[in-house]
Amino acid sequence: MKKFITGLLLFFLFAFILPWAAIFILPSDPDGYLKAYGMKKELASGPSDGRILIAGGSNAAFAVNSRMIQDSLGLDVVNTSLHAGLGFDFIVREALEDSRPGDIVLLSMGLFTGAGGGVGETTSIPFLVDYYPEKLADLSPGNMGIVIKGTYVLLKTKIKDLLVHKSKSGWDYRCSGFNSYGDEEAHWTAPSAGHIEPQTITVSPDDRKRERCFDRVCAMISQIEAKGCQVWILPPVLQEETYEKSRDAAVFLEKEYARHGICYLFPQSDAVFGDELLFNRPEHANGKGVALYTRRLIRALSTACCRDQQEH
Amino acid sequence: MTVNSLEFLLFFAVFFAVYSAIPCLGRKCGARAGIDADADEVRRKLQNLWLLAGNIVFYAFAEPRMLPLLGGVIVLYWLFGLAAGRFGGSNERVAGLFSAAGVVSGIGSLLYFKYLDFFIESFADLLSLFGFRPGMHALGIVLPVGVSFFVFKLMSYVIDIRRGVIAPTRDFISFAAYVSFFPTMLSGPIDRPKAFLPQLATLRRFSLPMASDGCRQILWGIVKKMLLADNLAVLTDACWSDMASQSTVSVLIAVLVYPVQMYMDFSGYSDMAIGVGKILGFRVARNFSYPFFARNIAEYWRGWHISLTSWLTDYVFMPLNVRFRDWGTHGSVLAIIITFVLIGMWHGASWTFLLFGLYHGLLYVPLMYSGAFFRKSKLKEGRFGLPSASDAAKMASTYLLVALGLIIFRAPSLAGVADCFTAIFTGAGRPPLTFGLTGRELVISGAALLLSFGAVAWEWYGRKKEYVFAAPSWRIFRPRAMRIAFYAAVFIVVMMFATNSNEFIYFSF
Repeated sequence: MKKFITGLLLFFLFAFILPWAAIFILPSDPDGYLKAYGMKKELASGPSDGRILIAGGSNAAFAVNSRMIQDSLGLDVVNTSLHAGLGFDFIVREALEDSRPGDIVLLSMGLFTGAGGGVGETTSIPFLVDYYPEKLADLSPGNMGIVIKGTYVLLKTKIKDLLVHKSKSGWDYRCSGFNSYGDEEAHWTAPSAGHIEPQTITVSPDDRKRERCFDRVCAMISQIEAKGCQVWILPPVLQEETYEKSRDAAVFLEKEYARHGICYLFPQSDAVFGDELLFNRPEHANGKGVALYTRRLIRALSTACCRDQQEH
Repeated sequence: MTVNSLEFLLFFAVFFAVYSAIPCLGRKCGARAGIDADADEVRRKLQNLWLLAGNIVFYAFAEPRMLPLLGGVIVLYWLFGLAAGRFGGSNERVAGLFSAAGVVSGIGSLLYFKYLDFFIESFADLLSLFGFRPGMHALGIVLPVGVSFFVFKLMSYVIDIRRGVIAPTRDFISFAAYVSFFPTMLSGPIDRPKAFLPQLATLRRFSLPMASDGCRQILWGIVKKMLLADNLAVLTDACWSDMASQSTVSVLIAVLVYPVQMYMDFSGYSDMAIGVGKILGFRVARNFSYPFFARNIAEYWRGWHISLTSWLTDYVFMPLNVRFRDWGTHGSVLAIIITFVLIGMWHGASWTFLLFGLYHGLLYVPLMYSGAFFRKSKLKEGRFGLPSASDAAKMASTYLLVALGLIIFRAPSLAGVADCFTAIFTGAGRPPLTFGLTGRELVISGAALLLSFGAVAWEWYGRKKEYVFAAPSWRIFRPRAMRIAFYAAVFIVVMMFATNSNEFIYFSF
């Protein structure tokens, strides 16, 4: 038995620890998109109180002009949104960590965010750990599973980047694309892709994993509220065709939030855009789309805040 | 929770730690076996109980709602078995009634869970053809996970008792552990009680050679499933999801690739299940034996999903053949066609599966009438151990017939079969070989295809071994660390090129 166990340990050393050693030795992209996590954490730890804290996937990073919101409402805005692939769990846990009493927390969860039980994707969480190894200590068991599974995707990417010189042509997701509020602003002036291939996002109501994920995440949202924050769901930007094809998923999400007593800031239908307002994906707004979405957000937020003040 | 998932690894680590410690309970581990037979018997019972607990946890991960059903049928068949054994010899009629009740319950549960909705829908469609509006709807019956596999185990148990092949077991825990044995629960192989129950009747001590062998076989299964089958699936799925826009060449390639994909998928899972069984000290039934080197369809089915085909041969074909013996070869042909229709229908309730079975049954007709079915000629090896040219030609033609049959199997409906043939005959003008995939996906799928051919050939070339990683004999692998480093390197390559898919084709059956 001892020999068997030493053999297994040796196997795990070769198959897991050595790849991670290689990952840490191989250079990381100095301007990689997920590197922005550190910058956003710094923004979130800034001194001001009573802020608007936006958390979510790239749909929110690509949809909001925080300066416009700040100028209109007179509240500091921090956009910590980064990538839906980090998963529902991770994003809301970070929002719980970043939020302070008096904050207005806007959670923008794309239709994809709850997929796979909400624990993130192999192409996201391990890449974040590569930039910020200290995050390993904060990850949930589900996230850790994704890190283990994603080890090899990360290793492959790093080897490929080392062997094949990265093409600099075309638009790329970069850390340097974010402004000082945390909005991705490099794409505001970049040319849009034209017609965007619609996607179909399906949700199975029988998916126990997804239901458990919602229960877990909504419990965290309740904790944010218990801190003295207002929490709203920001409907994600969605292409018209994608919305039509994924209407069931959108309705399912609204029902799930409603079941847990969490409201949308404004209806999903107000965030459904044509291709002329989109950038490169069905959930990424272009410069014009950002302006429109932000105006709708400001209007809804000021209404909500007025209502809240009256109620108080 | 699939065998190649991280969840399974965690589950198995905990399960195995306790399982392998049980034989050492109350004595110094490594002490000679058989010194204290009574204590060993207690340990055996404890080990089987722990195995059953593991089976329940595993099944609960897959389908907790169906646990009571699984428990219920296990109790029912255990009682059927005891009753059939009790009356066997003294009152054959009553014993026969209990066995028949077991068979009828098995068929009944399959009919209910797998086929009732299909029958209702087909009947409603038939009535609507004649202008009736029956207002009948499918009941939306939830299919219990692994039902096709455990029901076959249960039926073979009562039939074997009736035939006197085995004695009924009084040990309920062993019986329940056999039926719900977790490595084979979701996708087979279908172990027979005669081979499996005796293994549960002895305490299983840890065996290093067997456990190492099991690990290697799991790794080989992972290579086949995650590196090869899943990357081939990218190509075939792309073709089948948009058949209308595919060119003739693309469709033909997808059709020819599908048998390899399916083999890698299903045999990969079987290898993993057998490997897990070995670590636990069990010999699980073999499920594949070089099907693509078959020179006719009969040889192919002797090497494809062996545990199912041998089950149906023993319990369906043989009795039917005896019953129809007065009709000579015609009777055998009828028996084989019925058997193959059942093989087709075993896969699911659909006209395509029925047609698939019928197609294979009909392929036997010329073999039966020419007598080739009954002749078992040995494969002649040419230079370098390769098959002769005539044998190779026969193998290629068998492969083509199999690939053609799998169009029916893969198609979502009969209309889908027609769509595939339409695309083959009308797709000449369309741009070839794109499949709607990116260049990178095409390159990886192409490489997976080449590697798959290599793997199939490697398996066949080393066919004296159970699987290709068994007992590596190269000198470079003599140092243990080198062997382990090699396996780890293989694992890393697999994981680097694995897709996100974790679905096994045979889980849906």
